[in-house]
Amino acid sequence: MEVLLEQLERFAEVLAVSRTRHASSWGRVAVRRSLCWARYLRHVHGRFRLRGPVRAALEGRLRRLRLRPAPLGGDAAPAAPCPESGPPLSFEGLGCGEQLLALGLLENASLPSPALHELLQRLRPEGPAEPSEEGLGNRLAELARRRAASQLLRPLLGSGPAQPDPVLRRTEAELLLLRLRQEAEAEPGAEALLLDRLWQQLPQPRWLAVVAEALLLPPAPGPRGAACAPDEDDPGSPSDLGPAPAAPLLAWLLSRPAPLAALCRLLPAPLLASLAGRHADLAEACLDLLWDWAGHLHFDLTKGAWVGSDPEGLTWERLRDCFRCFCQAPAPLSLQARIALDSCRARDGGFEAPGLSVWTDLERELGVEEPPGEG
Amino acid sequence: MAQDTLDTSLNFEFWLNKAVAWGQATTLESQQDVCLHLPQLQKFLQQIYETLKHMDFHTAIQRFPLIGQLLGRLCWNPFVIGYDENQKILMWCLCCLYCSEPWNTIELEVNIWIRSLLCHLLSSSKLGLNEVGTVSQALGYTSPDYYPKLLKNVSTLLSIKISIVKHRINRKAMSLLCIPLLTLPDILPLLEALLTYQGDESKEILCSEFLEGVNESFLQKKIALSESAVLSLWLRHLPSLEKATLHLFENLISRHRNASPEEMECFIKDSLLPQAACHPSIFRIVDEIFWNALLETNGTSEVLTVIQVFTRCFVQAFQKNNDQLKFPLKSYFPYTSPSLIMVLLQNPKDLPRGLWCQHLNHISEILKKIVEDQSTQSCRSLFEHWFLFIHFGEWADIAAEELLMLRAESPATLLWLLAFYYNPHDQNQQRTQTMVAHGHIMKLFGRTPLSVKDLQDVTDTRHPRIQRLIRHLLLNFLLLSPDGYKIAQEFIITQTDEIASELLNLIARITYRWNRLGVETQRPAKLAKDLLQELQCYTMKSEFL
Repeated sequence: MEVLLEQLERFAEVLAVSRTRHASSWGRVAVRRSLCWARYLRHVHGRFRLRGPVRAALEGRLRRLRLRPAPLGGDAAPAAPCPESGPPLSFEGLGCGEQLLALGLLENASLPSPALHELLQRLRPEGPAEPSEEGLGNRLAELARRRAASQLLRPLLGSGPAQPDPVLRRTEAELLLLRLRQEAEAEPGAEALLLDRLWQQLPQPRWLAVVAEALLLPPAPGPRGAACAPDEDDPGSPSDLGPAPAAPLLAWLLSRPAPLAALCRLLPAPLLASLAGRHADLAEACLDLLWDWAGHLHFDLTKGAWVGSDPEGLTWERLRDCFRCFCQAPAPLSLQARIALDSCRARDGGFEAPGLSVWTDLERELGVEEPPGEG
Repeated sequence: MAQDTLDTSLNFEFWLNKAVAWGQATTLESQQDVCLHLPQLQKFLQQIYETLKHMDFHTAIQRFPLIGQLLGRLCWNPFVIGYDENQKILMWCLCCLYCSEPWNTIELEVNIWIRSLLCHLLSSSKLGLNEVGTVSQALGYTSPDYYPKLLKNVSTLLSIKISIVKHRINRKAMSLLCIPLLTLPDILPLLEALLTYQGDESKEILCSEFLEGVNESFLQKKIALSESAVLSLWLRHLPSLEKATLHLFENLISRHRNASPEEMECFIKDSLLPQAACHPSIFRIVDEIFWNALLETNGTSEVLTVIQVFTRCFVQAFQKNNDQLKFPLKSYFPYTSPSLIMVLLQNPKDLPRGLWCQHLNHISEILKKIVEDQSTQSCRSLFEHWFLFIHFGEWADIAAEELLMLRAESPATLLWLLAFYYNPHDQNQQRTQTMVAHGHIMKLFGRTPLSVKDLQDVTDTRHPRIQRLIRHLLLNFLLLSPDGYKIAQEFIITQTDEIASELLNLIARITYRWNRLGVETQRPAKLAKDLLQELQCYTMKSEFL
């Protein structure tokens, strides 16, 4: 068992190094050995993936590996894992370790020719491969085929370069949820760190779109039984993410004012309404935020409209659009929105005349009727 | 060998020109042309690889100076890469050309070029065309994680869009794009959606190469389509249906010649043709093909068995079919009398055994009346009724058995039926001959010891037309009489190969029927099984010698 764990560690290191310039010292033997490990660990993955104490032990060791600083010498990466070295190795990653390794080596310009030659020979059917290794070339070829297929079919979906691509977004959302689950398994609380980092790193509109998509993904059709092994080609498809895969994401969003504010400000109103309709907590948070912002609007008599003091802040139009979409959404969101409107208006003083309370004018604009039994 | 190299050289120029003309296959013409040539291209690439695999870079360049151009251009053509095994073979070729120890600038550059081409094929991060979103990269995922999911989502989204009428999606273009991708399992929902979509256009929208390709892949069991998709395919594209039927026939008659009727049943049900044939237009076409086969082979026993088993599977599917669209029986057999259809459709399993004779008499009556009324009508109608009877030929087999088991009250009626089965015309002439032959066979019951010569005397008749009928009766005798079975094997061996295989086919049919109907015949059943086993070995041996 200890030997297995050692090899696991070695391989994780090897995988990380394969993508960096440290691979320039690799020769044929190094490549052969690393492929050997990869193959061996793939068998391990195949044998133990249906849970069991061995799997737990392997996952534990992998977890501890992540917490260790990367042993890369002088230019060791800072606390955040270097993107080029790939995500930290997970148990599921062992299933396609050979492919990851092969791709890493292929893309690494600093790998010397003899070493790459060794790899390439093993992709051919007559290469110096052991019988169990024949799969690697085939699996890489399948990848190439799928890539070509996506290239052929995607244009049919009709989204131009300017429009956001729904398929891309959905794929990214699925990958995000997968990664979150892997982080959560590694260490509770790690998801929040990851999300914080991504929030810093990525352009806001892009990030928000993916978050929205992830929160809107259909829930899993019930957790699959342990007897049904996950698809080997697609480990961690959304269906085995369990009943509430997006829970950590939602929790993070609700606990971080900046992303939440950006969401409310930037996301297209209909999309925001779908999100709010799906997650009650989010609806409440959004309504609170909107109420808060609306307080910063004042009525400009010269323009005859409500304006905000902050040019970057909420505009009257945005407020109206959000509420319009909320009110048009199915219950309970529409009900929630109308109740909010009414109570805000009452809090302001319950005025009838325009220009006095933003809520009165909003209700008037939206044509929201007084609910029966009031007034 | 020299011829091969010559062919490859000539072809090389041809394919290089093609690759240049196709470019990245962005125009409709280039796309159509690529799709037409994909299978041959794969064969050619296979040949190239077979040559390259023994060479290093320098030898390869001398042999194929323009190999770089060819491989490079093909790798940038997604239609080529998406097809079957092209991408694998191209990858292998590139791996062959890679120099393990580059000595000069040229070799270094070649290596760099090969590496970038392989990256282009396999990896996502070098593309820079927003293919892999920045999000995925930030998450640290690469191609093996990304592409399967992406393709699955593309496929799902497209198949949803196809089924919604108001979506302006170009189904024809889509069908063209799917042609190289047919055997990719991720595409299956898309194929199903395309095939089952019912538009209001009067002409077929999907391109015929697509439909042909789908049919071919289905017949070779490379894709697993649902029943409704296959039905839809065959309804829209007649050549596919015909090909599927002929494929089944070929399987049953040539490739699996010694298949028992039980195995035939499996093949037939797997082919999905009986289920599809619940749609009358499909049934009529399949039936037409059976008819032609019958005529071409002069009604050999194998073909009769195939038709019989197929009809049985069809009837099962028809009765199981819970669709509201249950067609009236007349639509399947439009030129025959409905009363005959009804009486033939009766499953012997649902009748107590004692009533079989009576039912046979009934069949005989109806048929006789129809036949005798034909005197003023066309020959065509006679054959239509005969063909119908062939479908349910099980009843003829039962008639032969009942005759030999001496249960018939009026053997003449049953004999007439059997005679009609083998010879629908020339009724009157045959009647006396058949009765005489039957009489001879019945006499064999009492004769002990029975010798092969006695049997040969019976079959050695001056009336060649009723040979098959006599053999059928004789076989039943051999299986059912206590003396007959002792010399059955001996007798069959003395026959010609053709006749022996006819008899074997009959035995197989008989045991199939006994098993299906749960007929209690211990000794004969065992005998039949033994005979089959021994004689099949024997005929196979004699085929070798």
